[in-house]
Amino acid sequence: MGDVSDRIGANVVGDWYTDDSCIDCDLCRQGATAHFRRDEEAGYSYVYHQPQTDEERLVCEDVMEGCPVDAIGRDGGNRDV
Amino acid sequence: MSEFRARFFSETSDEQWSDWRWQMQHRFRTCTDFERVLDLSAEERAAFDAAPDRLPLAVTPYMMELMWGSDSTDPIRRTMVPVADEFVRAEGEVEDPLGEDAHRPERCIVHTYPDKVLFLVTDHCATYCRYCTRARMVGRGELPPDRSVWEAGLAYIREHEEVRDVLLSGGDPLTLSDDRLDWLLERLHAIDHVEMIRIGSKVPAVLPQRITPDLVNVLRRYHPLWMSIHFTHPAELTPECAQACERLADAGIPLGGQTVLLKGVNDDPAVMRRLMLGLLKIRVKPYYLHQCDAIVGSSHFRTPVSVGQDIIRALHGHTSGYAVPAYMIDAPGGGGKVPVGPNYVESVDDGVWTLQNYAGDTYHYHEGQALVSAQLEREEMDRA
Repeated sequence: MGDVSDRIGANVVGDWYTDDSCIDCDLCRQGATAHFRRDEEAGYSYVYHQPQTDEERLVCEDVMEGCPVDAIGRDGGNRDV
Repeated sequence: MSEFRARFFSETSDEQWSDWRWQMQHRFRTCTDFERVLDLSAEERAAFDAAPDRLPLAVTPYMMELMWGSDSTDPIRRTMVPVADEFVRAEGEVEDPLGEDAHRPERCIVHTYPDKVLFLVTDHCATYCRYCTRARMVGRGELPPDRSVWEAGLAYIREHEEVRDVLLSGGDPLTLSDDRLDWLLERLHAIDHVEMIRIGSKVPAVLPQRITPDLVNVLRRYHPLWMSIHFTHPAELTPECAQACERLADAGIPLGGQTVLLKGVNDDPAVMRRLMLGLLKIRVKPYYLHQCDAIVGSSHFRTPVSVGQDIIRALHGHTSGYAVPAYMIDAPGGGGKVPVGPNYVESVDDGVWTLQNYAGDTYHYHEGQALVSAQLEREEMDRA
C-alpha cells in the first residue's frame, strides 16, 4: 500500500492516491482507466477521478493489489494536496 | 556529467540518475520521446506510425545513453527501437512459439519440464526487447503481480512435489519492489520440495541501478538462489552493469548469462567472443545461446542455425571453456530446449569414436567397455 506522506501532488483530493515510488508501469492505467492517468512530463500515474461507487472501488482495489511497487494507497482521506 | 546527460538531463542530480525509480519514471516511451534523442530512420519511423498495439516500448535513460549518436544499424538500438519489419509475419512464426499457453495450469505457472516450473510474476519489463518470446503478453497488464494470482501459483507448486526448481520470470521480476519479491521468495523458499529458485532478468544489463544493497540483502536470504541474466552485446557491459553483477555475485548468487542470437546484433564470432569473455570478467558464466524463437515479426532478427554453430566453433577450444554457452533451439510448441551445437563426432564404429578437435585435427577414442563387450560376445559365439 502506498505511503500517504509520499503522495504525489497531482492526485485529486480524496482517499485514493499514488505515491512517489510509482515506476510508470501502466498497470493501474490499463486496469482502472477511469481513475488513473499518466503525468506525461513526470512519468508517473496519478488519480484523476476518485472512485465513487463500490464497483469503482473494486476496480481500484484490483490495481492496488497488482501494483508492482505498492505505490497506490487509499488512506488519503480528504487531505488537501 | 556525461555529454548525454548534460544535453538531455542537465537538471538531474547524480543521486536521481542512480535511482532506479527515477530511471523507470523517465523512460523513453513514445515516438516524440525517441525523436528528442535519436535521428529516426524511415524504417523506424514507419514502425512508430503503424499499429501501436505491437510490442510495448520503453527504454531507460541509462540505455538510451548507450545508443545516443548511433544510426539505426547500432546493435543495441536494433534490439530496442522498433522497425517496420516487426509487422511482417514469416512462415512458421506464431504468437506463442514455445506453446506455453498449452502448459499453463495456473495463470502464472508454465509447467513444461518434469521437475521445473516457470513462475510468471509480472508482465512488466524495464525495457522491452523487440524480439521478446512473450511479446503476446508483456506490458499489456494481463499478468499483474497480484498476490491472489501468486497464491494460486504457490498452491500449485505445493501440490506438485516433483517441482524442485522454480524459475521466476515474466516480464522482469526485478521490476518488483523489494517487499513484493521478499513476500514471494519467502513463501517459495518455505516449500520443502523446492530445492532451488532462479530469477530470469535483464535488469542488470538495462537498469543496473536496480541492484541496490537493499535488494541484494533480500535475495541473499533465499539460497540456493540463482540468476539468469539476459545479455545481448558487449556494449552492455558497462561499469554500472559490472557493479550490479559484482553485488549479486558477492551475495553468493551464481550468475548465468543468456543470449539470443540476433542478426546484425551479435551474429559475429568476434562480437560474441567479446561478450562471452566480458561476461566472465564480471563473474557471469555464459549459460545459453538461444536461437531466436519464431515469434511473429522476428524474421529480421533470425539467422540460419549454422551461424550459431559457427560461433560456437569459434569459441570452443579457442578460449576458456567457461566462455562457451550451450547453443539451443527451444522446440516450437513446447518441446523444450534442444542442443544444436556443432558436431565434433565424425563417426562411431565398433566402439571407436572418430573426433575432430577445435583445430580440425582428427583423433580416435576407444571405448574400453565396448571393446570388452565385443570381445565377450565373440568368445560366446566361439563357445556356441
